[in-house]
Amino acid sequence: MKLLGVVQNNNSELCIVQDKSMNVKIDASCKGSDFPNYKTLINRDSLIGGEAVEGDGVFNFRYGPVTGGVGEAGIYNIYTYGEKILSVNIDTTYKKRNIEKLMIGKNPLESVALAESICGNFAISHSIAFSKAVESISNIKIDDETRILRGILLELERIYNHIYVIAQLANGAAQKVLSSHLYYLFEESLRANESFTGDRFLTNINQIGKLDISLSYEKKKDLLLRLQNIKSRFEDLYSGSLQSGNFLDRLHNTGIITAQKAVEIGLSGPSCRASGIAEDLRTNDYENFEVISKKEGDSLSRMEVRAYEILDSIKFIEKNVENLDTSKEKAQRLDISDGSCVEAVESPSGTMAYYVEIENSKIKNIYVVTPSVTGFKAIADSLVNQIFTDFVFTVESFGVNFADAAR
Amino acid sequence: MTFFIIAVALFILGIVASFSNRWGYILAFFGSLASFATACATFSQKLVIYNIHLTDSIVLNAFLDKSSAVFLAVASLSWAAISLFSIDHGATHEKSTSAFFNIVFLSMLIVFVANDSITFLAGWELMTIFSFLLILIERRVPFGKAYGFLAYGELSALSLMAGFAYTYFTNHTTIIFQNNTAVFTVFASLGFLIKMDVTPFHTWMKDVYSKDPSNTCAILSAPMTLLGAYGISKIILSSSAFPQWWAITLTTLGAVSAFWGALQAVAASGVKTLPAYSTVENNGMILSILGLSALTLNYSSLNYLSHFAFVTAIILIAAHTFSKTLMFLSIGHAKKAYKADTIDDIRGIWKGVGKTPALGVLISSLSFSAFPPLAGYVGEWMLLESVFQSYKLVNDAEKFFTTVSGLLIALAIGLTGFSMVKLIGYTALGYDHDKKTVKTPSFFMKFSEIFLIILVILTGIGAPFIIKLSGYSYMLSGALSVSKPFLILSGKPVFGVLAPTYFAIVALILFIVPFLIYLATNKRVKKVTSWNGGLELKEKEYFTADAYSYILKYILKKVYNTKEIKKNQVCSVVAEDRMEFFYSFFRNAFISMGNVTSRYLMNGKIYIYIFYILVIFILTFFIA
Repeated sequence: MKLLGVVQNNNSELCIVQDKSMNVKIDASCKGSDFPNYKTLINRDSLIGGEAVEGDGVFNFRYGPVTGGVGEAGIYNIYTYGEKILSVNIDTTYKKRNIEKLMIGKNPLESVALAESICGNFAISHSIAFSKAVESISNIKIDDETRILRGILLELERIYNHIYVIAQLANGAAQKVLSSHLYYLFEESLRANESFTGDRFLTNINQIGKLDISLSYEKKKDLLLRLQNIKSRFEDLYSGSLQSGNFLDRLHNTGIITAQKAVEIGLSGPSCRASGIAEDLRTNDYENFEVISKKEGDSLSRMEVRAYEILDSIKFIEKNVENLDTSKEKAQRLDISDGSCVEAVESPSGTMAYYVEIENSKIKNIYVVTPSVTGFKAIADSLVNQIFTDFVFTVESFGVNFADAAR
Repeated sequence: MTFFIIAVALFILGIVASFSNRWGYILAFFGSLASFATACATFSQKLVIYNIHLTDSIVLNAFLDKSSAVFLAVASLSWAAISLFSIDHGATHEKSTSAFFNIVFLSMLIVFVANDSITFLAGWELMTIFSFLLILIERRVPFGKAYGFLAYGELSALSLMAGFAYTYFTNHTTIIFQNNTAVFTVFASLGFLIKMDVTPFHTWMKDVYSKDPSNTCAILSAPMTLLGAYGISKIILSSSAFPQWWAITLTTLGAVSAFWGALQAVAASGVKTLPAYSTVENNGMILSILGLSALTLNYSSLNYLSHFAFVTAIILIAAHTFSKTLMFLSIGHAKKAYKADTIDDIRGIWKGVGKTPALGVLISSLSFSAFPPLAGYVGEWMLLESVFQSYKLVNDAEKFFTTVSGLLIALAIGLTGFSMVKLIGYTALGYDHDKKTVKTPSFFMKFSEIFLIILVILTGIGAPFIIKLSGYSYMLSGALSVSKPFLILSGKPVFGVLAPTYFAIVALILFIVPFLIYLATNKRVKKVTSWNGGLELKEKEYFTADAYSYILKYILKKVYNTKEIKKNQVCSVVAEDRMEFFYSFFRNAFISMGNVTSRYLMNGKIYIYIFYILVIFILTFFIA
């Protein structure tokens, strides 16, 4: 069992856990402090990672909050006596927007946009996870086509996120030709999103109980064509990248997270699967889903898992998109009931879960489990004893976001 | 003669006036100036001090000739600067050290004029013993650590005694530095090179220098090691041939020492440990070039190279003495203000302590980094030019060892740049973090530092004049637009040329004057607090001096025996000087021998004593 989050509820703690069957639930019988990642989750709004280190010549090589190598506002406090990293803790608070607090007291229907705004490149994952929680509380049934289309949207999000992560790794390793081509594919995948849904980052599509999207035959055909192009180009680039010893040397044995460490951290997503743990929430949602995993737990494994997942995601979309029929208008009453529930989706970087409590049709309490919190913890732990040069290959391979962790 | 008598009288007065530290230092300053005047007067006429024939073979002879005067002039300027600096610096010292300063300066003066073994050893021993007491007097250095200095000092004296004794038995005279035998050359130069603190005889320095006051360190590092170089120079000057194997040994040992010292300086984090290892490096270079001069002495065809190598040694000695004195004094000034010991804790001297000590650190470090046209630059250019000409040597072994020595020296010069950037970047020009400094009287300290800054600059720019003064004016010429005698020729036929004076003039016109005009006119300089990543840097966020060196300690972990110590959340890196092994080995061997002696010989049993005395008596009888 894995601890995903700790909800403060009337001076007590509720544990959000993921069981062996990949079900995410509230377990009242669990005691949070029994889990090794309890401290990380409790302190996720201050510093994530190791403790400060002192000693002769030791200093905090503060990287951020506004610096060239960090895409968002956040700080990597790297304790070092030069070159070798002794300890890392990560300050995500510069991206803190208190979105959970902003959602409290609001109608769930108007809170979807807030959930999407937590992290732009995980927008659809946040949106669907939140919607699923509200739909479960209110017993709103989702038709198969909406469910499949949500799956397609999640896979579209996964494709562009994974391509971006691999492009960043190539860029960090100064593989300029590879990274330029991958950034092109990243842009192509965003364009595919726009042509299919009307939004590059898949926002403003998902709503409670439905999707605000109309799909035509041309749109579906265009998506398939674009994905075919992305797939063939990506396969070509990826196989080429595996021939570059210079590139692989930088990723191989870099930022290792062992399976045991991954469990202790509560890591999920491709990073967890790269450590030999075949966990993926899609197992319960998709038919005949095969989890991709690797054993080494290094940056190279994480890249490999993401690369294969891109191809699997394209395959999933190709299989399901043609049979979609969204032309029928589905009239559904959306009565929001009171209650609480936790629901999760497999976001590009791991488990995204929403615990929602509704009272008088308003959100009373909400807790968002994001993969970036445990991802940052994994970054901090895997950077220890690495040298500065490995920083970029380690950090980028986890594909996490400050906005996602800070909320 | 008058200046010499005045110098001796002033030093003696300085010893007597030890009740007042201030007056003691003032007298030492004037004594040093009188010594300098003595040296200057000797350039025109040899100074004979005494020549007393006690018996046919026991002669006391003291004089100062032109070659010795060059060394005395350099040393006496260093003494003067140290004495002047000490007027302020020593004012707050608990113990009266001025008497020891005067005794040490006087004993060095005796060594400079001594030409017989008795006078020489008297001066040498006085210098060693009172330097040892000077180290101990403030009780900052534990006795065990200071003992290392005495042990090597006495080893040096013992080696000299052996050389002098052999000379006495073969030449039947106490006069030294004439008709040198190979045995004398080896023993005496061994004694001198030990005093130069070259590897592996440097191991005491780290502990002593880090604790002792800076003015004492300046004496130990600059004029005292100069005496070692002076001794070897005297041997070379008074020899028509030199044992080839020993010359190669000196060249190679010097180069190894230069490389080793530079390597250890890179790893040093103590603000005085770095200059200490820089001394090992510089004296290694001096020893190496003296070795090359001695080596080429054997070939008449390489006469020019031999002389050029010798004059290179003089420039290097002057550069080292002035620059190192300046470095220790400037650091001492800052150290006193900050009350700290590490490079990291003495940051921002420019803003925190003052521009003069910061300039002192800057100029001395630049000189050691061979920054043109400072003294170190000229010396190191001449050094490399000399070594580059090793292809002219006939013997393959000589070629091989001099080439390897050249490689090590070149590496040492590169590494020195690395360590000096660390020293300048952190201490002189670093951020002071608004640290509170202790205000102390600093007029004389600043005066002394400015005096040395000028000397370091003038030694570089005026190198042709020093060469001329030393009697090697045929190495100076004029060519292209450089008029005679401003061009230094490293070989004949021409091998390489350098005109430091002209370089300084060009640099002055093109860079320094425009820069000064810019500074004078452009007052609108916006100063902001340094920041990183959008936030002001906190104290614990500054890149440390240790971190600067870590990459080398990490890559060369086998050389440094780098150990990373981690205990809970406290980490540190420890790098060793592996040469300490030699000292530890001999120390342990002597301790073990002492234990064995006390157990089996000095165990209170009378018959063992009698047996021991009888054996020694018989042995002595047969040997004699």
